Amino acid sequence: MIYSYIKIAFRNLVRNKAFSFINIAGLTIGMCCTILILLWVHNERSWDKNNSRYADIYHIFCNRNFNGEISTGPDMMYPLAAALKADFPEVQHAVAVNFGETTLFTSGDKKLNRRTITSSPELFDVFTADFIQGSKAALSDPDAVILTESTARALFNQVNVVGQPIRVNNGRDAIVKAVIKDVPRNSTLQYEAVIPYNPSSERVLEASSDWVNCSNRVFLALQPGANTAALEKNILKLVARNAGHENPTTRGSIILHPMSKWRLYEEFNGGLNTGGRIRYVKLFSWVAVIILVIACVNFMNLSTARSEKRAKEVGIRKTLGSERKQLLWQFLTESLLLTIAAFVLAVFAVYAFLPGFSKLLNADILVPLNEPRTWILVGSIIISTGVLAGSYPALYLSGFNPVKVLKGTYLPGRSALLPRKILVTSQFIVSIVLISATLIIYKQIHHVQNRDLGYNPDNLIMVNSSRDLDKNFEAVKNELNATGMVASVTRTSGPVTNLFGFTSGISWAGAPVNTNLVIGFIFADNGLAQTLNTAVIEGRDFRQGDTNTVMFNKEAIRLMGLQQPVGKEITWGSRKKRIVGIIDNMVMTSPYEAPSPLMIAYENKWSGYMDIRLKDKADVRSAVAAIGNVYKQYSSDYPFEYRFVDEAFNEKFATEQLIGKLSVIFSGLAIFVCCLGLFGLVSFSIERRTREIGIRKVLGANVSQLLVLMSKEFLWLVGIAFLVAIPASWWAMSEWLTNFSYRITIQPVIFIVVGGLTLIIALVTVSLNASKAALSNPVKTLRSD
Amino acid sequence: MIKITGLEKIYRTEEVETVALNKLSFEVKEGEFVAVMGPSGCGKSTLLNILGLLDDPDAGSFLFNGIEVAKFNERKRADLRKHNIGFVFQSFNLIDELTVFENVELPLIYTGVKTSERKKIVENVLDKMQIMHRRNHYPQQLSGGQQQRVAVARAVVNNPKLILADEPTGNLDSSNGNEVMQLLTDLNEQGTTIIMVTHSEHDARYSHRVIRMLDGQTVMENIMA
Repeated sequence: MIYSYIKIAFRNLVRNKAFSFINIAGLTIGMCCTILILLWVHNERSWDKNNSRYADIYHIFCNRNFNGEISTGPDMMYPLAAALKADFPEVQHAVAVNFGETTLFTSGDKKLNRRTITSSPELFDVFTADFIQGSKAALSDPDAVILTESTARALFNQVNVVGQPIRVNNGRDAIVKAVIKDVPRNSTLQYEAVIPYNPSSERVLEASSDWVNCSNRVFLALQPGANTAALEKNILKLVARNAGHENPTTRGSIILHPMSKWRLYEEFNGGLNTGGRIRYVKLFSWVAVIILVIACVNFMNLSTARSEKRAKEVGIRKTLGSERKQLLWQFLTESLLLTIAAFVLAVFAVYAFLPGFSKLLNADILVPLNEPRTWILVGSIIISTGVLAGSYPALYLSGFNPVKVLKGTYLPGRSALLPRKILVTSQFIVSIVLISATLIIYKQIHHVQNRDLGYNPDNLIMVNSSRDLDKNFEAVKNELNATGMVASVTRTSGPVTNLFGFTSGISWAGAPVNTNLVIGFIFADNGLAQTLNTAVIEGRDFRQGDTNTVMFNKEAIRLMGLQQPVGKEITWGSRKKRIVGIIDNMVMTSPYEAPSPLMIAYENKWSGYMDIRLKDKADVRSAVAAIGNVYKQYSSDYPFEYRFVDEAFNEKFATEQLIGKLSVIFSGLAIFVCCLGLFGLVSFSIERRTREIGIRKVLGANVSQLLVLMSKEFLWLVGIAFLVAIPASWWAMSEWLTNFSYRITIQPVIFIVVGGLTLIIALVTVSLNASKAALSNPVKTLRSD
Repeated sequence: MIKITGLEKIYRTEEVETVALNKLSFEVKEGEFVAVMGPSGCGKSTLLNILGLLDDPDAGSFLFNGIEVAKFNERKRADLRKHNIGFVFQSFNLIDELTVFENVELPLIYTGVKTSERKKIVENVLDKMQIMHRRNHYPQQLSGGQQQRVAVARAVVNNPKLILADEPTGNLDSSNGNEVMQLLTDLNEQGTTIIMVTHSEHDARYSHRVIRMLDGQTVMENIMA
């Protein structure tokens, strides 16, 4: 019996090539998208799972209370880790890890900058690492350096390098004590080398009793089943007891952020863990389901549209003794077969697109073939798709009355067309929502990228500083100016595309008591405003020898409430500094947020970056080469590394740009699948109406009248879909936009564009088909009747 | 074999009520060849559908081999039908996607005959109908006469006790028509009961008895010589 079903199914496929193609192509695209999205979701969910203590690892966050404004951050005090382990039995391991920095490693004449973390001894008790050589004991040795496999290879051309000397930051000599496998790309804690904290160094000794300043992250491995809520309260008590006085930390609260949430629930808002990437994972999981459902709907539409053809077969089979149940099975078998065929094609497509998809997502997207869950999922995708797609047609077709269909008087009434129309309309609703969402995402990204940043990031280069460079900075500056390609040069403590330092320790005459105003700060050399191209609103830019001076941005002055600030003095820590200038607000942190208040303190002894403004006409390539030459001349012990500020700034949009790209791809495909369905449906409708068209032509209808006639019924559906989809996408996208404080307002014109676009797509699809029928010779269509 | 008594069938639409069968009664004995004649709309096809268990009457009794089948559910009807009744239609009603062989094989699949046995039975029937050489062709590759032979072959492949033929020669020229009538006569002579709806007096002459219908009732019965 089943063989007979397969045979009929296969012959039906071959006979109706166009419709088989549309059906299989739709299902293939739908499944391919679904599989790709599921692989991506799987990848996102796999983060940090390489850690054997995945379920017990927590990252301590602190909600700090600045006059009622809660800000959540991972920065904690150094002694917390050791104290927690000593005081609480449920804390099995605790580690303090700094925020990471770039460290210069030298071995022989090889010099490399590598992303490094500095850690207390229990790092590898909390996080799992594969030791190629050495052991976790290396972290207790202050002279040790632990390298990852690729760092070891890059420096020594081999991995068995334990015992080799290595120079750190051109200063001290250390010894490689362990080599571990590279940190997996789907790990939150990323590093290429680990340096142990030296407990006898002055810096660490000082930090060990400092319960106020926070410059470390603290990770815990808890006993399974530990009461985290109680521990959170106890940690805060411990901090308060040791700090000795009230501060924003003691006024706040502690959050133990479990490792399972590090990747997808990474955002905090108002002191609560509000979500994060999970939004996109959920969004695209839905997109996956929707695309598959659209493909299934196509299948249903096309199969029932072909009902007149299949009706006769159903009638004959019923007369020959087939029960309805057997026919149901026959049609379900057909749809399952088609689904399997489409799935096989989809798998080929997935493997073909996987490298590009991985690159687009900047992730190692793997197919987890060895996980039983994958196979269960594959089975359930095939079965659910096959059954979903085949259910309605099977029920519909198997219900035909043999007497009627064999008499030839069978004509599906208007009621039979209704479900099909509902299906097409819902496809268009989804398409319109997807197109609008894509357009709005793009508008938002565009809006933010074109935001006035308060400075000019174009033609601006950041070069990593070095001790030698700082020593000879005046000479370097002169040489750079002599290249003729450099407009101006300054130095900053950090990159201009980010703010790492925040302080609440500024006071000034007339300041309210206990303001706890938190202001971002950087250090900078003279020529800052000139080099960054930011406007000096009051006073002046830094000048050579401006010792003990500061500049503020507009926002800081507004928050401080200072009148005529230029010339006034502030106290920062124990030092008095004079305000020389007020600059415009620069967007240094999130481009979606309002600019932070900023203080710039003058510093000409050291720096983190040298910022170089190129002349407008300068050839970038030769300018970089010239800067590199000057760099090597003065700082030969350090590798020349540079970044373009505009590029560094654009990285802040990585997530949104990715979302934008993904939504273009997937909504494009969804719309394409919708159009395939519409195309199929229209051609069936026209096939049914050839006689009518012939008669109308004989009676004098012209081609355009016929096109209007045939398009009308479908354009109606598009119109209804439009009316339903617009409020839906308006609502959904307004919700999405609330994630950004710097955002667009949704303009009705977007929906007009979307409506027009959908209408054109639908019209083209319909008329591709309808024009053929409208142009055909009526004599032929009527004779064949 | 068949005994119907007071059979009624009424088709209702919103405005019109059409009486297709009006208290119809007659009997067909096993081995008979009966022709049903009458003008269009007299209820011939309705009668045939009810006899073929494709449709159910609104009232009256229908005894098939002594069993009351008028109130059978779909499943029971399908079961009775596939074992006992063969159909021949005016428009052949072959499945376009299946070959001659597969079309004829279909009833055997539904009655659960084993593959090896099916092959034998089908080949035997095709041979008898002299279309063995066309076994791998598709219906649309055959002439009308050949298609109707395939249809007859399919109708008899299960050895039904009853064949219901609905204007079997209606779409054929006279020589092909005669051939098909000869086939039916041969089957009848081998013991199969045949009830045939026809418009053709010529075809009716092949039967033993003609039932003439008008407005859902029998008006006359002629015994053919």
